[in-house]
Amino acid sequence: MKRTSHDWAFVLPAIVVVAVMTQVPFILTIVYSALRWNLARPDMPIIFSGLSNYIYFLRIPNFPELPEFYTTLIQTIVITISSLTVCTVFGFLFSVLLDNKIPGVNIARTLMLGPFFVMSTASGVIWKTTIFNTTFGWYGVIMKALGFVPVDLLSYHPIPVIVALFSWQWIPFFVLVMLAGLQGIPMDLVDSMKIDGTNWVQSTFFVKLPMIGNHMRVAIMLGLIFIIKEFGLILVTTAGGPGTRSYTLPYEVYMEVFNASNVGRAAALATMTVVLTLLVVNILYRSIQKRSSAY
Amino acid sequence: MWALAMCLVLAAGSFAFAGGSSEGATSSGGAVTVNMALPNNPISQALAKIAAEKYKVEGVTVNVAVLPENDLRQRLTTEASTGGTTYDIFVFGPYEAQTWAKNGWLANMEPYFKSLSADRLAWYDRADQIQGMVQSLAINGQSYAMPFYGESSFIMYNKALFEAKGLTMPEHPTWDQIYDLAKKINDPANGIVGMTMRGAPGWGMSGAPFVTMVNAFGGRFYDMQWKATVDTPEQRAAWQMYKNILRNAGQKDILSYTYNECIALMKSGKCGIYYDATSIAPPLEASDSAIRGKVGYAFAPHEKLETNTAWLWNWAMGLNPKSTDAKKKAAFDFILWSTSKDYIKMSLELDPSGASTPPGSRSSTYTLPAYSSVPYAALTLKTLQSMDFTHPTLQPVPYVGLQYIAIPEFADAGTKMTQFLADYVVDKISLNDAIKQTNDLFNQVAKDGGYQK
Amino acid sequence: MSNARTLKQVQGAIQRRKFLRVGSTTAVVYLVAIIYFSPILYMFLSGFKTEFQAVSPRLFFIPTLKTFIRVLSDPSMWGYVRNSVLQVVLGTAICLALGIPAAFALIFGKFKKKGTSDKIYLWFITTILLPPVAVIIPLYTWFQAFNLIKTPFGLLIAYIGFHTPIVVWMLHSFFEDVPIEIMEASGIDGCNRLQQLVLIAIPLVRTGIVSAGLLVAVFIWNEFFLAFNLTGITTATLPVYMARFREQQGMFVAQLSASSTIAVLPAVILGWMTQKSLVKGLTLGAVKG
Repeated sequence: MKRTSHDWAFVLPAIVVVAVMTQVPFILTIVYSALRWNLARPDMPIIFSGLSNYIYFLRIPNFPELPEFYTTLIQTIVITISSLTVCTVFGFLFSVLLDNKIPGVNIARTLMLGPFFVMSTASGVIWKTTIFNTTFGWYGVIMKALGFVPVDLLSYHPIPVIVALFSWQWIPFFVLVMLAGLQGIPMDLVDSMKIDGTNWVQSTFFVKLPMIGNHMRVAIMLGLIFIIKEFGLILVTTAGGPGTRSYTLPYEVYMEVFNASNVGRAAALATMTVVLTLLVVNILYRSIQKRSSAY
Repeated sequence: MWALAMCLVLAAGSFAFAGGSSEGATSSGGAVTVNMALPNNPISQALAKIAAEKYKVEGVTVNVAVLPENDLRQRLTTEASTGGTTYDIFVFGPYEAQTWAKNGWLANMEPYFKSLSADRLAWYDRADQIQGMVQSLAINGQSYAMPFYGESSFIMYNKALFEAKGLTMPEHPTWDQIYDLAKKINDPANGIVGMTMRGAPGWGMSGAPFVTMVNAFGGRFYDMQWKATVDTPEQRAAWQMYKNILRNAGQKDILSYTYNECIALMKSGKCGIYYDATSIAPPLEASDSAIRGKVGYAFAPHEKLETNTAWLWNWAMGLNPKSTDAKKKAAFDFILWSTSKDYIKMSLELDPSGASTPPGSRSSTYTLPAYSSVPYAALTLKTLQSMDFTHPTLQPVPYVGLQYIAIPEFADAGTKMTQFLADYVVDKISLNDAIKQTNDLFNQVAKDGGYQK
Repeated sequence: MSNARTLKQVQGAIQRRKFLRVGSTTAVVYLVAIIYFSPILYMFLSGFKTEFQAVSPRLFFIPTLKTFIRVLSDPSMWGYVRNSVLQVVLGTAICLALGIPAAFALIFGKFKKKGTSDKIYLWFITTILLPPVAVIIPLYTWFQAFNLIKTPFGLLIAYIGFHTPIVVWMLHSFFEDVPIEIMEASGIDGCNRLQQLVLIAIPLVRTGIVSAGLLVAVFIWNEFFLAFNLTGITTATLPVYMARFREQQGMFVAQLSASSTIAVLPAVILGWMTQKSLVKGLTLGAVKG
């Protein structure tokens, strides 16, 4: 059957478009990272500078003082891991809650899914304006009513706020996936557990949880990829602030290009971000593989 | 289902090709489209409104986008430096003007002026424009931008609150006096804030009042050899004063306050003192302000440096040299219109309180009856006329600029500095750390930028 | 009188307990769901307030349509809606048009070297990992050079490049589930590859197509980073418009809420209407993958 050339025709258009829009630019970014290129200084010509952009970020002149790059890196890791943990734990709890045959559970599930479909810039602005505002927001009003002085959370605790908002946005996704897993558990198993008199804690955490291992893996991997990429939410709520306290790597790349106009450095930062993402995804994949094979 | 999908695709496709208006499009026909973006301050927003209603030129459509100031700066800087043509009119200040003109990122306006008829030139009246503003946008007398509105900075205070506490504001206050007064007025139990200032980081946001404070305290950023001089007693005094005012007498959500939030707070009557741009006085005297008619004005505070402690800024409009000739012509016409005496009159018609009128661009504005009776006009004019942005500090410096340093790297370095400042204000880092990091940063910038030999 | 209860009494007690349990569970579930969604519910509600009513948080007020009318009669708002609709409809259609044949060929196609299709599939998956931040610099400079910022087609191509892999990934497992015998049988009957795809394969993976299409549609509608940096005045989409509200002068909360509602409602409704197929697609495509 001489169909090989036809088959390539089916795949090629997709490959070309994807490659041109994602891979080719990434290769260019790596090339740019080896240049000294400042858009705002046309009087300084673009020259090859090897690894100096990377060194600028990575070198530590006075240990134990850590330069900005490492702070941003730590913040990125903290935000990502915290969000993932919250999403997994609460995702599981909420999916257990929704896995109940009660009247109108679909409506409850629908409500809970809502935030996943709301664009991050809109939800960020709404939370910032109508909830977190210490004078006019629900948080401020409720705290005052309870007799506390409302603290400006966005300025004083930016990272917990961002983790909370990320989680709020992504928990529905985790619920969606895990609920599907829970509902795939055969009824006779559930019934037999009831007959055996297994209590709720045992049946949920020691039987059901391991059974949806696959689903959890998928949710965590996808959640990780999308949470690392997130930019809009940070821009509209804390703008990376105060100062650089809630910078993440993607946010820093953005500022390096559009604020500092330093293409070379931004490209180095972007390349490092991709390398780190690949590393983390790899590690996570392997550790989850190990765990699920234990079952 | 496939039929539905096909219909949707076709509909969207035709949707795309059917003209359809975007933001603030004016006039019809649209043979030439001029794109511009404005910052989201009250006077620019008024321009967007008035242009949509009143600017009607045959065959020209003007699209105006109103963006947050940080976005505007970032977008336009990157666009200008990469030779883009998304915007035909650039809106920026003297900080950008000088470097952009030198780099060829702005079109020289003199040829366009030469092509005007004598009548039109007389109507526009270039001599009427405030020369300090015009010069800050020109190289060797050739204009690369026209000032839309100009500002300096001064103190605005709530007379009612001052009277209630029996306090008076000196005409030429020092920062120590201001701090003292702010503390006396500050009354959190009754929801009264002593003094508000911009707290949100950004070189053009909290950076503006902060750098003038540094100058006022006798500090500077570089010595004549381009060595960073952030770690000096004068600078430290400024850093501490800024923090003290905001923490002990300032607004609760310090770091989320851009000038918009400060204006809202001041307008509500719940704040005693406000140090910010002269162009902010009009909204405070507008009809929807609770303190209209009860606002007092004083010169920008000084300390060790006794004069020239305010800032100099204007928002100006320039032409994108990469736009087509037709667009540049249309854009030039729009620029003339929006910086003309006619526009000033139109803005007064829209809002007789002067809140929408561009200040600091033309001397004739201050002779208009409606405008000259406005309470802040006199002090604004006095302040504007006394600014000298070429000698910002007590000791000599190799740079110009009153509330910024006119090097391209300052957009990033200045922003980072305000970020360290913000950290220090909310106690995330100590003063020593903040100063040291800022000093190291400025030294690095001087080295990387080839300034420090 | 005996202490033993009658059968009826025992049954009654069990019924009551069950009712209490179900009742309390229902209450808890609904409470949690409503509280979870409340910020958006409050946003919907606030669109019906006047600015004065919207300044401080309040739940009870006399609703008015004035704010919505104001927002809807602003022509610039329609510009953003138009741009978003354009990107989603064309973007989803083209992603499907490119991704479905690709996934099909990767499963059923015969390539010269063994393992090519696996390699290509893996390649598609890794592009999903790529943060847009890594390519924004070259993309921005290309767009400036070729004047793509002013047309919607620049952003459209970027969206297609970034979202086609999702279609490929989701449909991969759906196609895997189609028995190979059907393909072989049709081949013997004289169908060429294209006919196999259109007449046989596509109808069999309808659910997968719907869920992939929906996921891509929601992602494109909500996408911010590329839209923020690669669009100009006339091509900006709704997420970009919403981001401008973050430094609002004064507090136009009612207007913000009304605009948000318009921006957010299509994606939310679409997601709700199709949650069942979305779950199927995600888990089937995902769990296997």
